[in-house]
Amino acid sequence: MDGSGSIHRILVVDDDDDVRNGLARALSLHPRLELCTASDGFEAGYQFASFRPHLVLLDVVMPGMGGFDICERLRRFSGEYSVKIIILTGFPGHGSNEQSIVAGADLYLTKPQDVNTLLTHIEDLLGD
Amino acid sequence: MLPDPGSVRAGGVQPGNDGMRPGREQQGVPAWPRQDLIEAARVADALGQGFFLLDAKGRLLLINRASRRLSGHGSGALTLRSLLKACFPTDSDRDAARSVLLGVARDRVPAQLSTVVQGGERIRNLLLQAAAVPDAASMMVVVSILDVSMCSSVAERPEACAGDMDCAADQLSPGCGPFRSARYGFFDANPDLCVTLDARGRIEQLNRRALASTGFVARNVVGRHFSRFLGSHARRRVREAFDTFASAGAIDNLEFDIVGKDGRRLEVVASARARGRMGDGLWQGAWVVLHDVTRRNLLQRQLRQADRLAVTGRLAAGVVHEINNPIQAILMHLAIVESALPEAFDQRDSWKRIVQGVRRIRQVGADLLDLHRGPSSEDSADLNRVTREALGLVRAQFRKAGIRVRTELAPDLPSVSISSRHLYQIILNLLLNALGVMPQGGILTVRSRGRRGIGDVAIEIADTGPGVSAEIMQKIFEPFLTGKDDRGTGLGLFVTYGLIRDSGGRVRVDSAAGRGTTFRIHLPCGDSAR
Repeated sequence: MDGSGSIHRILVVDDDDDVRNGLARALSLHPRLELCTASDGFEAGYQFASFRPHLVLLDVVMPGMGGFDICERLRRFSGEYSVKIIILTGFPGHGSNEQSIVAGADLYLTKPQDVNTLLTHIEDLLGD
Repeated sequence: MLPDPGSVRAGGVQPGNDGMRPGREQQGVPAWPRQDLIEAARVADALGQGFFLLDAKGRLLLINRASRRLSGHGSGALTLRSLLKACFPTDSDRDAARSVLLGVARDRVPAQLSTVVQGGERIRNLLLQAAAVPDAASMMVVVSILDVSMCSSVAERPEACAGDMDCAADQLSPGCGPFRSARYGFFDANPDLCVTLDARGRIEQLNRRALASTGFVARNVVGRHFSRFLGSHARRRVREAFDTFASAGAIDNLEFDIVGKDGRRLEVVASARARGRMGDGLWQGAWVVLHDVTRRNLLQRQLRQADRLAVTGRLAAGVVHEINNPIQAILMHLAIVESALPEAFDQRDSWKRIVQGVRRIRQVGADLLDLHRGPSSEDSADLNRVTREALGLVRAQFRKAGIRVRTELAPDLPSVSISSRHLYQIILNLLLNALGVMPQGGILTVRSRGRRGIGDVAIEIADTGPGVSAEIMQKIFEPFLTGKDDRGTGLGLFVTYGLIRDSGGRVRVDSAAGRGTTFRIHLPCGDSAR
């Protein structure tokens, strides 16, 4: 992703402070990405409505509402507004890839991922 | 441990020829010696084996204490009826058992009965082995009772032991006359290996089971010292035990290994009892009963290993899951710091090492998680195709290391019931393992085998590397075991084992120091022909 073109808003949803802030800060080094974070499903819903992200990076195992649940709701409530969703899980279980497809995610990744790999995936999904 | 006098029924031991086998007396065969019977019962008692003797009419002639204990029979008067009542729970079982025992006396064909009894709080699986007593003046049946609860199944018990008496008797040294009868009745009805030794420890006689298990012919063994057949680890320990034998006259539950014909190794638990003292205070000899625990020990070792690996696997996956998040955070923060590093940063080397270290931790986690990734939707694979692909990937490395690759892939293999991705990983791991053990070159042989409708397909990957010692073999599939340099994570074989096990397959490793290593994997067929 080069430095020119429009700004993309990314929402990072993860209950782990280090991961959430790390992801947000590392990705925000890229000049065309604007970052926002949420630590649970409730906050994610709020940020989704106010921040209007182009892409959501979503953790799976979180207290309260899990990533697949959040993913499904975001899809249901996004309406004509098209958002890309990447599931980024630290606990890959049997069948979770299939589950992510059912929930409507665009991509399923397991932690840990390099910044560059993440950027490549984000670029692929958002195009330009 | 002498027999309970009350258990030797008065008048039970037949005094002589009862007319059922005319002509014996004319041949000068003396009467059945009561003392000989008692000695057999006493030895059986000391070894914890039930032993009783019946006449052709089903009368109990002699019974030892162990029979009472094993059957859970109370202290009341013993008859065959009451003994069978203690051993067999239902009337029909009891009647069947009685007719089997009488059938043995009539037809002289050995028989075997299995029953489950509850003695106190313990439930026991008993095995009754009945055989006609050879050379007995009257028709008699000797029955041994063994507690086989410890065995994984009755089927595991040998059948050869109940072999025919005449043949066994032929292999005995002559001159014992009818005195041998009770002993060999006890011997041949015995599913364990029985051996008698003379005063110097030389083998006098063996039962059929001992011959069958060791593969020896009696004439090649009789007269040789017992220690010649001990495994190298056992020699000193067993000799020491037999040194104390001189004073104690007994050895109990001594575990060691013996070596049979062609070097076959048996693990046994032995008990021994001395036979009567001679004038000079020395024992006349010893009865030795060896219980073959080779298979039991093997199963136990496999079970322990599987258990340990399963626990380790769960633990490892849990740990990996826990470290995924911090590593993700570290990777992000490394990127942040890296973007802010000044051009002239003079600790670049340390920085590089940090990044490499994190990458390595990440690789360990990824290797372990291969075990726990979701299965792909695909559930069968073409073994030959996947093998060729994996070989293609490492061929250049093999060539560089001077390793010649020989492939013998069977044509028309049925597909195997595992995803291609997992199969690919199993084969690749084993190929990389072979590469690691042959840095100076060698020969790698990859063979596949299997036919439609047979049930499983096998692949063999054999190297000509240094092989693994018995000690390493025990833990070859454990995690973090690595004989190579630092490059590996030590998880390759551990992951391989887990993938094979999860697919319902099994793996066997044959190796010895200096002889290379062969991994043989059996995988269930994915075809409907399965």
